[in-house]
Amino acid sequence: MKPIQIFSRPLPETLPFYQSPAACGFTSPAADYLQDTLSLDQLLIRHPAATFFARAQGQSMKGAGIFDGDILIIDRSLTPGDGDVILALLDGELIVKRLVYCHGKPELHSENPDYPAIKLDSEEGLNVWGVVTEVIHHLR
Amino acid sequence: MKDVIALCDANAFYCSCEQVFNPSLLGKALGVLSNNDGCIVARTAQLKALGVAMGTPAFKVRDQVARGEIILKSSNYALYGDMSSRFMSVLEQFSPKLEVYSIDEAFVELSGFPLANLHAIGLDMKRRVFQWTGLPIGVGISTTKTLAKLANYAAKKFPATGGVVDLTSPIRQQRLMAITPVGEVWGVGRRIGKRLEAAGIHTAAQLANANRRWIRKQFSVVLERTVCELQGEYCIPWEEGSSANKHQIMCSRSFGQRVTTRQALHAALASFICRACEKLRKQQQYSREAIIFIRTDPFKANLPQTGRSLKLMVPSPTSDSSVWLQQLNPALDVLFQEGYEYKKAGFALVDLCSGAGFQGDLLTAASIPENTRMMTVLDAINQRFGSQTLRPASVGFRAQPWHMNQQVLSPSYTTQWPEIMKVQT
Repeated sequence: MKPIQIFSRPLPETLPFYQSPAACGFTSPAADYLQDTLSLDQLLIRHPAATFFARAQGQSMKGAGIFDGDILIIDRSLTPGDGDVILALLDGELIVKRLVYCHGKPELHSENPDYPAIKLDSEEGLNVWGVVTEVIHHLR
Repeated sequence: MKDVIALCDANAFYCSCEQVFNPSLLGKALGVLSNNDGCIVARTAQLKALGVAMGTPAFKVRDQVARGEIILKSSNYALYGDMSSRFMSVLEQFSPKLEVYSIDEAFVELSGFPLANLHAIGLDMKRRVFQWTGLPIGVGISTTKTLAKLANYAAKKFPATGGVVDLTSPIRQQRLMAITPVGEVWGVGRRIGKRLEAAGIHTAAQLANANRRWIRKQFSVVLERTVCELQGEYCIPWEEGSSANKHQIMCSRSFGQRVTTRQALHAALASFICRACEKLRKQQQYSREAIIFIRTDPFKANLPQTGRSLKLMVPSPTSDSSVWLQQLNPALDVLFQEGYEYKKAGFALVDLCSGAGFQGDLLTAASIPENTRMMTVLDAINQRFGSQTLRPASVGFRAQPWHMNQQVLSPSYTTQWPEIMKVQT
């Protein structure tokens, strides 16, 4: 015997919630216009398999809008270029800096005059973990 | 057109996952421990070089750990599971046909690509998986699964290959098989390997040239299939899709300390039920049947031994933890006996069904999931504030004796908001 089909597809993660019982009365005039709700993931994450989150610590990137405690969205799939804010691996530690090329050599710049730039000898000395694409800053 | 299959697997997968988020571990003699921090189940090349074998108990390297020569980590399956699915989804960019063979390896079908490009495609897979996930992998490409496995073995064994081996050419197949011990062939275990050696078959090439009928008679039809595959004949079927949605969900643990009271067993099983149902909800499935078991430690032969299991049924398929929690006390009435030291317990949901094909129950009013919304809220809170933040009281409040030993557990960097990486600006 064939099992009765109750659901034709798996339940989606978020369902539009109907306040009124469906039994009788007029159907909502908006029903035809129901769309998916807005998703922050869709807005902020282009490559889910390559996207990671980290919490920033320190004051050196204030000028780039990155404050202590902010959440960073990091996309590893992107190729870092001049001017990108990156998560770099330096001496076994992960740090957030702006990548700047100066006469063809990479430098890691802070966005706070109290911190000097870190100059690297060559492209090989640059070890990029990922490109920081977004900052989530809590206001309260 | 010939089939072409790539076998991609991550190098020292558990160790590599740890190193991605904690780069200070790169280049170190690092090992990852089994459940309860028992023995070493993953090793970096540096740890292998120290002569530490797979399965070495943690206490045997205690002194080297104290001196800082060896670093050990508890297994962090939340992290490894997430990294595994990232790895698999990068591979999916290369081919729609993927068979997830285990947490750290997958077969990828590459039929239809020009043969001359295969090596370049393999290099591209390796490069992209590393860029997207930070995981180093090896790639073996050939015309059958068994040969792809062999190619992957060569990619690991010979560093000069750069981690990618295209073994589609029969001449290269012959050359590699001539120098590969028969025990390294996929499907030849240690026991069969020994019997083959005794019969004078020492290399993969000798196995490939063995008489098929003799192999079937002396060994099995399974080994005959291996021989066919070594000869380039495609016979191990493709398992469709990934094994992500499983047919059963098992949650079981060996306890950190032995458990003697019913109360402690109850708390342990309650937490396994919650965990199993959480997994079930994650894959959007339901179940009406479960198996529950408790047992003592079979290695403690001087202690009284017992092991009991029970099948549980509920009226209609559910993914609601509370439905199964209500079954727990009646189950323990049957299973629990005083006077034993329990070592392990488990809860398995079997006969899983999706929404489709679900058959309602005539006698109970609401059929599908009454508590869906509450469970959704529960899962969302635990995702946001940390696993087990919100839990039924039956799981218990304090650290329990049955908790796993996880002395050196790394954070769940990718699955729990409070535990994401911290980085200096």
